[in-house]
Parts: sequence; structure tokens; C-alpha cells
Amino acid sequence: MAALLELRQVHAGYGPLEVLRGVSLRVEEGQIVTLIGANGAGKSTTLMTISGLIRARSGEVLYGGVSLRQAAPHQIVALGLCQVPEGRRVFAELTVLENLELGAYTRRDRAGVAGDLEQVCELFPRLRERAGQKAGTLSGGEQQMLAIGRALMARPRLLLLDEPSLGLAPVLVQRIFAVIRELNQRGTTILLVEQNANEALQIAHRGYVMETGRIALEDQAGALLRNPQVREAYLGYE
Amino acid sequence: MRDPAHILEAEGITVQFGGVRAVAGVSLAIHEGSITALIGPNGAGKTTFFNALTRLVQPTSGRLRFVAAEGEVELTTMPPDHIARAGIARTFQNIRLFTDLSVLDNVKVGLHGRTRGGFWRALAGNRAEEQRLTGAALEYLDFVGLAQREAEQSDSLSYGEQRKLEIARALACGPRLLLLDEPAAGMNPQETQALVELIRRIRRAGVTILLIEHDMKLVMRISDFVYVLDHGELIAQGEPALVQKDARVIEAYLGPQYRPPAGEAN
Repeated sequence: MAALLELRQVHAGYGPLEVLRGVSLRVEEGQIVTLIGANGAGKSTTLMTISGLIRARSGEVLYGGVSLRQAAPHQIVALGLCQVPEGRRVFAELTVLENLELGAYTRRDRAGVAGDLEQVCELFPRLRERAGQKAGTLSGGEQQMLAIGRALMARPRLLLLDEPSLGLAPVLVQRIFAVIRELNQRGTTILLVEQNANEALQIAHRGYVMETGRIALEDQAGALLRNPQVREAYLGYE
Repeated sequence: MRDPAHILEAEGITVQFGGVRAVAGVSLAIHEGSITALIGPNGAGKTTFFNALTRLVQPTSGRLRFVAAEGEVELTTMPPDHIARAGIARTFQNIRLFTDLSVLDNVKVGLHGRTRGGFWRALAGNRAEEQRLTGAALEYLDFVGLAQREAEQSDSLSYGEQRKLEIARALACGPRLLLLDEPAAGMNPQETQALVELIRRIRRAGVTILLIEHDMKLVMRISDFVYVLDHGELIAQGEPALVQKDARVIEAYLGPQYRPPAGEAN
């Protein structure tokens, strides 16, 4: 059976710099797959290549068995593939509500959009409280909630999350992983990049470990959690 | 100063944005040579407090006494562009680098307040000064472990590396007090451990450190003292091990499922 997302030997980079050196991975429909690895390993570049923000130099990105090679980023979003970038990138001069509405820009089902807006505000009550405020006046953690909420407004089939726990207080980190699990149980497939590898592997089905632009290891998430190499390199310093 | 051991004393600092009191009457003191943490829920006012200290916002009321190299100064009445020269440098939670400049040039910008004749004159062609600046900037890059990357454009660095570059740029200002806003964000545990070592080296070099951080392992490992903000007010303060057992802190910040990380001696 075809995976919802498959990367085959993808090479990509910036200018003269090659960051991805033959990345292959699969995300099956209905799963949470996590991509872990050190800073600079190429995790964010992998997500940006999937979203079409940078182009693969060779290799294939297949979504539902179809190549995304010809698709522009906005067309990729319309296909139900949506990325939450690292470091928020909210529209600072627009209100919280306008940011959320922009997330649903490609949708035409107004009733569905209203329902999803309600759900996002239930997930993050703080966004409802601040709906009329300019996004640039939110605290860092609140901007992170907004970035995730905005992506959910696209009602994605596949959600790419780049460090969703970044800048969130411990109580919210617990909450955000619960939210990711809940989204997945409601049918959203998730590719999750996280430095918080321990938490990520606990909610994921499969995990890939990236090192210097290549996949160094892949396995069931539970097996990676028990893998002594992974424990030493990525799971903590106790 | 009320206490000669303090490098900073904040008294009744309030920052009001329209009807919102982002910081509400915060009084705190920082011991010279210490590592102090400021923690609290998202939106508690932590970054706004940093902004008040560095005068990116003007406090509505309150006093900020700081011991600069030349003696005690009042920060609330000082022109904002004098803050760095008085000896306070910072990093930003939403990284603010000069993305079109190289890694090296970003650090040189930090040096400009300390050069004779100014940064722009140095750029215009004073070769000896230029070489001195380059040498100094490279030392700061080496200190944070980015010397190999000096020629790259700064936005080609990964998120965690950009955080270290911000620290190098801040150190280049020659601060007595360094403010770090979520230095470990975007770093994995191994990288966070390297950051802990870096922060300790900065302290050993004689710089006092005040940091905002959500990684509790890091906070517990390196801080001598912790202040906790919620809704703009101080709700707790003390040594890290005590603060993480405080019921209000657990409720507002850590969450009921929080388990304290195993203790470790400094």
C-alpha cells in the first residue's frame, strides 16, 4: 500500500550547501511519525522540502503516491499538507483572529471553518481571549499556540510540526503533546520534528533519527526509546 | 544599592500597555556573579521585564538601579542607547540576527559600541582597527563554538546555532550583566548540556547572568536563585529546589504531572 507521504533519496540544500544527502522516509496514513536529531542535521530542511518551500535537487517527494515535484507551496497546502514553521512566523500586524482565518484561506466550506475556529479556541483558550489583539503583541509562547492554531484551520490531512513545544512552559508542553495525540486520534496524520525527543517518541508510532543530512536510524518509536544509542545521544543527560 | 553584593535592584517595576499590566510592581535583586532564573507561564511578563531592563519599553513606574563599571546608575531615566554601554546585553526569544550579514559581521556589530572611532569608520577603511575587530570577533565566536562558521550567512545556521551566535554578539558588547531569553529553545538535551557548560564559562569570565528558560533541567542545574512570575506579579522566589516544590508554581507553571528532575551538584 502506498504511504500517505514518501521521500525517496531526496537531496536538497541552499546555494552551494547540500543539507539533505539522500533522505528516504515513509509516513503511513493515520500515524504520528517523528524526526529527531541534532541541530543542523536537516530536520527543518526536510519539512521545507516536503512543503515545497525549497525544491528537491534530486529524488522524489510523493504524497498519496503522486509526485509533488510540479506543485507550488500554495497548491501543496490545498492538497491538505500543512506546515507549522519553527519560530512561529505569525503575521505580527494582523489580529489573532485574522491570522487564524488566513489559515483557512484555501477552504470554501464556511460552516466547517467556523466549527474549526471554535475547536482551535477550545484547544487554546488564550487565543479566544486575545482574538482582537495584534499577533505581534502576544508573548512568544502565545505566538506558538497561534501558529499551531493557524495550521489546524487548514484542516490538514497531513500536519508537519516543527518544534511545537518551542518556548512553551512545562504545563503547556504536556498539553501540546496531548493535543497532538488527540488530533491524530481524530484522523490527522502527523510528521513531528522535536528536540523534546523523549516526549515525541512516547506519542509517535515510528521514529527516524537524522544525522548530517541522512537518516541514521529508523524503527518503531518504542524500540527507539529503548535503544541505548538513541538514549545516550538524544534522550537526556541524567 | 541596598546590598553591596547586588548588581541590580528592581523596585516596584510596572509596565502598562493600555489596559494591560504586563508587569505589575515587580521588585527583585540580582547578586553580582550569580546565575538567576526568571520563570513563569507563557504571557506572564518575563520578556516584558527584560524589555524594561534594556529599555525597549519604558516602565510605567518603578526604579532600576544597576552597578555599572563607573558606579551606580538608574536605568529608568537613562537613554536606551546607553544601556549596552552601561554593561547590559541580551539575546532575544524570537531570534534577531542581521540575516544578510555573515556570522562574523554579526559579532562585529556587537563590538561597535566599544571601538574607537565607531563601527562605521572601522568599516570605511581603518585597516588596523578592522583587523583588531575581526580578531576580537573571532575570539567570541570561538568561545561559543562557531569559529568554523564565520564566513557563512547567519540565516544558514540552524536555530540552535543562531541562539549561540546571539550570545556571542551579546558578549561582544562586554556586558557585566547578560540577559538570556530562552537560550535552550530549539536545542536537544545534548546541546542543552553544552549550553549549560557555556553559561558556566560566561559566569567564570565574570559576567552575571539573568535568564528566562522553560527547560527546567537547565534551570535546576545552573541557577543559584529563581524568581517566578505569573500575570505580571512575582508569585515565588528562592533556591531552585524549593521553588519547584511550591504549590502555586506547580499549579501555574509546572503542571500537576511535573516530576522534578534528579538533583545534581553544581
